[in-house]
Amino acid sequence: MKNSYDIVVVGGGHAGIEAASASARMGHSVALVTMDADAIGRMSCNPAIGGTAKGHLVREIDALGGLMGRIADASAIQYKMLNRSKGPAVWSPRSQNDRDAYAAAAKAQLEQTPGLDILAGSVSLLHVEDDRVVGVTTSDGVEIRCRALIVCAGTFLNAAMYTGLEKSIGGRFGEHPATGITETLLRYGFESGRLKTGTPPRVSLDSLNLDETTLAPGDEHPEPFSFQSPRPAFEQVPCYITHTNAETHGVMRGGFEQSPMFTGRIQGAGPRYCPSIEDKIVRFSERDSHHLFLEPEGRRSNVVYVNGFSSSLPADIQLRALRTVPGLRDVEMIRPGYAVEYDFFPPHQLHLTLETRAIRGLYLAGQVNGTSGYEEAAAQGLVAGINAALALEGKEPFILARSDAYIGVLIDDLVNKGTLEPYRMFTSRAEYRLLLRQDNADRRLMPAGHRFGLIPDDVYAAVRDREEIISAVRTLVESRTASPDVLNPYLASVQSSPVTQNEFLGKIIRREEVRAAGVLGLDGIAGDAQVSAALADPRAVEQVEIETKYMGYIERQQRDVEKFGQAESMLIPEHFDYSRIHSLSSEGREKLMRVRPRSVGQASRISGVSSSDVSILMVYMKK
Amino acid sequence: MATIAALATPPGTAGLAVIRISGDDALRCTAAVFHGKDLASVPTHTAHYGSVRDAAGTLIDEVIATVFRAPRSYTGEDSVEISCHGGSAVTRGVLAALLETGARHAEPGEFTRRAFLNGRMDLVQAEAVADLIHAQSRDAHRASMEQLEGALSAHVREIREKLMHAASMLELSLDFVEEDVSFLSAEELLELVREADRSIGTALDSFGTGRLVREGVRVALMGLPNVGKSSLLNALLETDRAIVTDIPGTTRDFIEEPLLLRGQLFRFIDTAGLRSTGDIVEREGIARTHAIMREADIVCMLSEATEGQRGHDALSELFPAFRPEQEVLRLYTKSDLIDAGLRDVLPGAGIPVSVRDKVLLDQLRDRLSEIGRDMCRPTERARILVTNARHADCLRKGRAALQRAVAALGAGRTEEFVAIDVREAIEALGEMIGEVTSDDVLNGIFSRFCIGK
Repeated sequence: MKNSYDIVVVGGGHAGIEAASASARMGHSVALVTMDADAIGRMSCNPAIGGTAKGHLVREIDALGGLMGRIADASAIQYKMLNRSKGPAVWSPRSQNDRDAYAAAAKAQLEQTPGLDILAGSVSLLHVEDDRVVGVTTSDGVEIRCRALIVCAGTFLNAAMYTGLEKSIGGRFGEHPATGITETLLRYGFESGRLKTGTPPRVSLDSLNLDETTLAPGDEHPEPFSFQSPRPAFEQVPCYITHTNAETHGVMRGGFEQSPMFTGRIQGAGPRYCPSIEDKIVRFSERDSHHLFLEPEGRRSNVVYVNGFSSSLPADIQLRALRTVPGLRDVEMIRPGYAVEYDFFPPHQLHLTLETRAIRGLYLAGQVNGTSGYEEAAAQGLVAGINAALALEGKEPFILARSDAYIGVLIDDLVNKGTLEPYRMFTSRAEYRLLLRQDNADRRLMPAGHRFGLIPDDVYAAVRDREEIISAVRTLVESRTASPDVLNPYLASVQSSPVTQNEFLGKIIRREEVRAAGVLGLDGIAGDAQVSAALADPRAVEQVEIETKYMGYIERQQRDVEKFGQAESMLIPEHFDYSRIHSLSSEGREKLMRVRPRSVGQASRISGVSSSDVSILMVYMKK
Repeated sequence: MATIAALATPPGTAGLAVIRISGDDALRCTAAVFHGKDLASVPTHTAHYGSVRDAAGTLIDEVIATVFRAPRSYTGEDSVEISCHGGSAVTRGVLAALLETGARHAEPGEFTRRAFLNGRMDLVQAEAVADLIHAQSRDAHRASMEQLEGALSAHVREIREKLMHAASMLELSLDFVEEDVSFLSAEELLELVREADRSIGTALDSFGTGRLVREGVRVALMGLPNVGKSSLLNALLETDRAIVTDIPGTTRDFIEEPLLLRGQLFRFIDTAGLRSTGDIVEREGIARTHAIMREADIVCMLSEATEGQRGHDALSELFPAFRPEQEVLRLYTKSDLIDAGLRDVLPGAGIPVSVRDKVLLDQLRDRLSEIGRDMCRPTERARILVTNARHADCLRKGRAALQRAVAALGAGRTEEFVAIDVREAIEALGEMIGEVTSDDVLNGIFSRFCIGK
């Protein structure tokens, strides 16, 4: 067995997969160390990928050449585009996935990657020389030398699971915890904290009375995640919706005194946006019903995930409560829900590359940084993997700005604002939301993905060609007019009011009910070479339509981005002495010294740094 | 921070003058020139008698030094205020002695900038200080004091918080689609936005009044050449600011003079006389006269009393239209030349004036100050008064954003578009009260301060 690699990745979850795959594909020798090779890509919680804002992350990961979108497409059993009733900026793709197929696809991807070895083991010790990581030792005593180490240990660090008053150690059902990493890092001055998350019970499909529930089918015209995947052509598996009632809540209340949360056995903070069912009952006591989504865990699986019923009450309480729910009166519980508590490292200890400030060559990605969610983890894994590779090559780091990508927002938030609960991405966290759409992630990020060698030449060439077509057709619709004779028959067909004089095409496309394809396909317009190229490519037409329809808003956001860039380019010297500025608030000074922002713009986003602290900084920077 | 010193009272001859010193070494610098108690060891907020001497020991003045220790001072730093005798030789001498000890002369607005940077006041309060220093009338003084106390900030903060609520409701509906939470209906949202818009509108409405209070009520003096506009202005000013001649058309450029009448601030504008003329310079002056007339708050139409109805009619032809909120007064000059009985029946409810009649002039002063006071009274629904142009600008930006939000809602735009407008409004309001601050805002504000504050 080889015992020296360029890069060692700890953990085979969503972060570890991306980190290992990207850095290996960038030409480095990589070892992915995982406790159980069969657990690679295991979906610990819901059998779904994407959702609001998370779907954006998946598209961005895909555009950078990451794996998540392709693995999700290979294992999807249902697709749904959320927020379709709203504008395109907040459309968010989501898939339901076959849990086993997902893990198998992930493992297959890694096994096929040259230069990437999967090693079974649990890292228990880090070796550091001169503040630089040089290797690890596993709990079996195997030593592996490396030049960079990416820790993607998920919820496994000193993890404990709770169901009622029963506590078992481990980071996921039936799996061991990881010990030693936290202890090593604490010795190097790291700060650590505890967070909590939970998962609902799994029930058997054949025990459900589905006719008492509401069918929740997938989209009629499903779209894949990956820009490289074909349009899905399989039969989709539906989900089912039901709801709790007063009786359910009564049963649950009976178990509150055995709740590890309410009795204070769990100290870590849980996610406010994803509360347990018992939390919902307490905090929203005026409601006597909550939605539950029954999500099949596979095309042929008998396991159903009860979304909305995350709980850490005793198993018998969970079962009795479930049986009060319509459609679940005969339910058989395969596994109860549980809460898991684990170590994380407050992310202000990281650079924007996800390298730690204290130890060079050490990167942290995923839930160890205080995030929640597969997609957030994968995005960090990819960024850490790319940066570890670039650093070994002596190249400039890869840092996405808030105006570039949701991934940029994610990491900027983590490093500057920190987090007190598991951090989840939301579209509202992205101030340039209209520009950072899921539909244009390839246009935004494929140039970078291609530069790193993670996007094949032909895929990138197609995006570049499309870019030219989009730009040409955009210019055309804002400069070409059409006569009433040409426009009115089409306008009548979409119930749009007729025009009385020549009108610019852009103006017509901006009408709510008008489709760009309809206008571009009109006589005398469709003949243009660029237009006919666009008409042959639905994605090009879609981009033209969005950019035309929302031109005013998009231009406003572009101006905002320029303003944002100014503050970002007011750089603060690396070793700036904040202690010299007495007028800073003491909290502000402490936070600035801790994070050491690169720019005044970044400083303004650090929590605890007030606007007057920022003004003071600006006054000083000007001197 | 470096120690700075400057004269805090207006320069020139006065009974007393105050020199202020602030900074890390304020006490040491002062103690080096102050002969009396050791200022380095006295408690804060105490006043001490002593003398200031230069390095050679020569007496410059006998003074009172008041010590303010950080953070309980205007700037938040150690400070001393030296009250010395007024007069430029004395104050120059004291200041020079202080500068010898290592203090440097303060830049314009530097004391207030430090107070802001040290968290002693927010942005609106800092601006209010500038306004207070420039306050020329009782009302302006009151408005500045209210801003200093934070009434305006509180009002804006309240609106901003409502908008934050609207923004969070919008985001809720975007990020939590599948949760069974209730969102704001479009109607409720519209009402929230409209309410914020109205609150900003109320504040903005007061800006018109605020401008009157701060800059003075604009009074335009209009009339044919040689009717006595300049003479009247001079009589009101009791100086010889405008050039008075008997040659018609002398006042070619307009002259603007601030004037306090019964505690009320006015700006009198003496315009070029109006008549058809081939003289190009004068023609331009007349075009400008029309512009001034349109912008004035009070228009005084002057004709000679001896001209009677004829003078009245001639002016009516020259100035056919006024804005409804403008106050138009008919003044009859040289009324000392007509019978006292005729003065009560002058056409157009005319007011008799004469530069030779003190009683008539006083009556005019009373009348103008009464009108001015009415104009400057804040409307009843406005609790606050916006007097600062930058504040008004932020409010207008906020309002424009909200009106776009209303339009977007009306056009059936979905939440993510409305959210952009609401966020923009929140930012505009935040900029006003200093919650977000940009370089330009700071530079603009601090460049307006005079030496000493």
